[in-house]
Amino acid sequence: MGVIKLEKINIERLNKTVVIDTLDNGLTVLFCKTKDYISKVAYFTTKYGSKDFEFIPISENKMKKFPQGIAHFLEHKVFEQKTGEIIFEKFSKRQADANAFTSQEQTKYHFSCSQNFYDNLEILLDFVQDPYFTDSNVEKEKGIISQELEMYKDNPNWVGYQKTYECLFVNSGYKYDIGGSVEEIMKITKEDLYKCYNTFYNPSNMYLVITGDLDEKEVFEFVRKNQMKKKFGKQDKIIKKEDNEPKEVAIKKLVLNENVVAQRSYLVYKIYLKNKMDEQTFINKMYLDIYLGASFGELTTVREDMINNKIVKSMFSFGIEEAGDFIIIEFDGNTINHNKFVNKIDKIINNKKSKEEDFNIFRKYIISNMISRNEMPSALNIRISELYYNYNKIFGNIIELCEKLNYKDYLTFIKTLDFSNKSEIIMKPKKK
Amino acid sequence: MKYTKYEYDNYTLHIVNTKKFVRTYMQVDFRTSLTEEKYNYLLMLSSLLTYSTKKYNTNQLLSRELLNNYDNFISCSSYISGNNIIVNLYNNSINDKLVNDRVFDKSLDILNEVIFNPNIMNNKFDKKSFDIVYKRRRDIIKESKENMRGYATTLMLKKMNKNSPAAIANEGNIKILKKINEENLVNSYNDLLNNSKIDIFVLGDIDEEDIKEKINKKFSKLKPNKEKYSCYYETKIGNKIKECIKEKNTNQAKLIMGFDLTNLTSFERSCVLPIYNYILGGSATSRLFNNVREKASLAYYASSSIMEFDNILIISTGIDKKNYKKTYGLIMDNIKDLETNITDEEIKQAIENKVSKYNENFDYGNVILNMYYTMILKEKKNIDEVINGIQKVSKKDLYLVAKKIKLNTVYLYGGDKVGKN
Repeated sequence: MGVIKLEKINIERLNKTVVIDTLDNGLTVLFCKTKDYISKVAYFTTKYGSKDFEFIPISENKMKKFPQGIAHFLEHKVFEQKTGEIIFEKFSKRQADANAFTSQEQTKYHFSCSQNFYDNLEILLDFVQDPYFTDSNVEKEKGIISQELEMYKDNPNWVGYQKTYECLFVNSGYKYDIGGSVEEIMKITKEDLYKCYNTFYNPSNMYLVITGDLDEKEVFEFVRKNQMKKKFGKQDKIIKKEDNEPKEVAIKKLVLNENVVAQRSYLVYKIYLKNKMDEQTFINKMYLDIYLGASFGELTTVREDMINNKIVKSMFSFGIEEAGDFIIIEFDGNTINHNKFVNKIDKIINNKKSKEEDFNIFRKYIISNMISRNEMPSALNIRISELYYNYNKIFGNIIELCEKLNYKDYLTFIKTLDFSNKSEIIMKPKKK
Repeated sequence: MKYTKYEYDNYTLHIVNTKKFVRTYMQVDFRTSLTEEKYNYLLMLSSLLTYSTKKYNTNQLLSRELLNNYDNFISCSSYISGNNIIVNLYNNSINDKLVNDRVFDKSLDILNEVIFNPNIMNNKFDKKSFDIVYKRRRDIIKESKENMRGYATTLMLKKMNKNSPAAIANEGNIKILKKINEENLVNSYNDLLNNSKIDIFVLGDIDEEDIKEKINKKFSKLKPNKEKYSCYYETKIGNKIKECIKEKNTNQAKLIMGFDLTNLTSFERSCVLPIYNYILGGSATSRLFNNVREKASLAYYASSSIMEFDNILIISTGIDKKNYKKTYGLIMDNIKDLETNITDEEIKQAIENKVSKYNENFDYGNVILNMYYTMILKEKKNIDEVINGIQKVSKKDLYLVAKKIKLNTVYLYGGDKVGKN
C-alpha cells in the first residue's frame, strides 16, 4: 500500500478539521472529530433519489424507465440480507440507533451510537453493500409501503408539499411523490431493484460522512480495509434522462379538496439559480435567505397585516428549498381571501428592497448560527454532507464567507432575481 | 460537567457548569396543579408572553432584540404532566467569548422582560397582541383534527376515562378559549408567578456566583410556595373493554389501543416499564415492529408508548380498515405472549440501549436540562437512580409488569374513503 494522502480542511474559528479521502473504488470518506462528545454518527449516502427513475442501467446501453418510487422502495429493501439477519437487530445488539431515508436526490443510511462504533460501522457498510432481493421479500414490502403512502395521503401538509412540486416542475423527476403511488410500486420487481441498485450503489456514486470523538487514522484505516475486501464493477458516468427543465411552471393554479378544517393557500415561486458549486452560489443562497427573512419574517408586520386585513385567519409561513438548479420559495396560510394573499406576497417579493439595518441583523444571525449550531456530531454530520453534496467541497473559510456578506452585493444580487414563475394551490375542505 | 443545586424559599436553582457547549442553555419551569380550565388559560398565556412585552411592545421589537443578540432563542410552552401543568420558558444563546460581546447578560435581561414585565396596561394584556395570539390558538385547536394519529389518540383517551388528565386535549379546548380575555388572563399570570413551584436551570460555561446573584435579584420577590406536588394520577380500572369504531373519509384507518397500568410500584413505573415498552413496541426491533409490520405487512408503523404519570400504555398503528380484526388479534397475541415469553437477549438489548440513549443525551444541552427536570417530576433523586434501576430489571420484574397491563379501550378511526379498493 502506498502513502495515503488525505485532504485536510481546517474550518477557521470552529476549531474543526474535516479530513477527506477518496478510496481506490471511488468512495469518498469525510471525517470530522468532535472532541468530548459521546455520540458517534455515520451517514452512508448514495447520490440517488426519487427523481432518478429513467436512466441507462449499468452494463446496458438503452434508456430504461422504472416505476416511480423505486428509490424509496429500494431503501426499504436494502435492509434484506441473504443470511436472513435482521439489520435493526444487529445494530440494536451494539446499542446503535439506525435508520434510512430517501429524498428526491439522495438515499441515506445512518446510525448513531455511544459505543461499539467500529462494529456498527462495519454493519452499515456491509449491509448497504450486499443486500438480497427475492420475489417474496419484494412482495412483502408492497403492503408496508402502501400503508406508508396512504398515511401520507391523509396528511394535508404532506399533500400540499407534494403538490407544489407537481405544479412547479414540467419534465423533471422532482414533480413526482418520493414514495411513488400504490399503482406504481405494485409494478416493482426484484430485477428492477437489482438494476437500480447496481447502477447507483457503486462506491463511486456514494459518500460516507463520520463525526465523533474518534481517532482519524483508525477511521480511515478501518474504512479502507473494509472496502478492500469487496469487489465492485467498474462504474462509468451514470447517464440519466436529461430533463431539460424549463424556467416556467407546469401548472399555474390548482384547486384541491382535502381533509383540512379550513381553506389553505400555497404560493410557490420557481427560481432558476444555476448551482455552479462555488462560493458565490453559496453566498447567493444566503442572500436569498436574508431577503426572505427581511421581507416576510418576524421583523416585519406582514403576518399581522394579513390577519388584521382578513387575508389569512391566523397562519402565514414561508420556507425555502433547493431542487437542482432551482430554488423554491413556498408561502402558505390559512386564507380567507386567496387572491389578496397571492397579490400581497407577489407585491412584496417583487419590491427588491430592504433596509441596511435589517440586513445587518440577519447577517449577525447567520454568523452566530454557523458558529454555534454545528457542534453536535449529528448536526455537524448533516452540515458536512450538505456542503459536500451541493459544492463537492468543504469551505474552510465558511465563517469568513458569512462575515463578508455585504449590503451592496446583496442589493445587486436580489435585483437579478426573477419572481415571475409561480404556482398557486388552493386546498379546500372536503364536503362531508 | 458539574451539577449544583441551590434551594431557596421561592425557587430552586440548578446549575450545570460545563465547557462542552458553545451555547448557554437556560430553562425556567413553573409547576402547578391541573384543571382543564387553568391549562387552557396557561396555553394562551405562554404564547402571549413570548409575543411581546411591555418594553418590546410589538412582536417585531421583541424579535429584533433577540436576533440582534446573536440569534438568542426564547420560547414558552405549557404541557400536562399527569396531575400537573408545567409552563416551561426556554432560552439559549451563544457564548460571550465566541463573539466578544455580553450576550448572556442581554439574554437574561430579555428573559426577565418576558417573565416579569409582560405587555399589561391598566390590568389588561395589550389587545393587539392578544387578538393575534388568540386567533392562532383558536386555529391550532381546530387544525388538531388534521393530525389523524394525534386526534385519534385524543379520542381514544377520552373514551378510556373522560375525567382523567390524559383526556384533556393537548392543543386546548375551544369552549374554554372563548372565555379567555385580556383581563382575566392577567389573573392567570399573577397566579402562575405566585402560586407555582419554580425550578430554574442554567447550563454552560458560566460564572456561578454571578448567575446566582442575578437570578436572585428577580426571583426572590416571588411568594414562596411550600405546596407538595405529585404528577402521578391513579386511574380507575374499567371492568369491561370498550370498543369504538368511528367512520371518517380517510385513506388509512388509525387503530389506537389504550391499556391501564394497575398498581405499579415506583421501580416498576420508572425502570421496568421502559424496558417492557422497548420490547413491546418502542424500537425497530420490537415485537410489534417485527410481527405487525415486518412479518404480517399490515402496517408501516406499529408502536407502543407510555404515559408514565397517567398509568397508561398506548399502542398505535395505521392500517387498511379491512384488516382491523386481524391486527387487533395480532397485537393482543403479542401482549399475551410477553406475560410468559421474553428472552434474555431481548432484555439485555433493551437495557443496554436505554442506558446508551441516556448517555447520548449528554451531547445536547437542552436535553440535559429536560432530563434533570423530568427526574424531579418522576420524584427521583437523580438520573443515576433511574439508570441503575433500569440495569437491574429482571425477567421476573417484566412478567409481573406484563400481568398488570389491562386493555381498556380499542379505537378505530377512519379508513372509509369512498371508492378505495
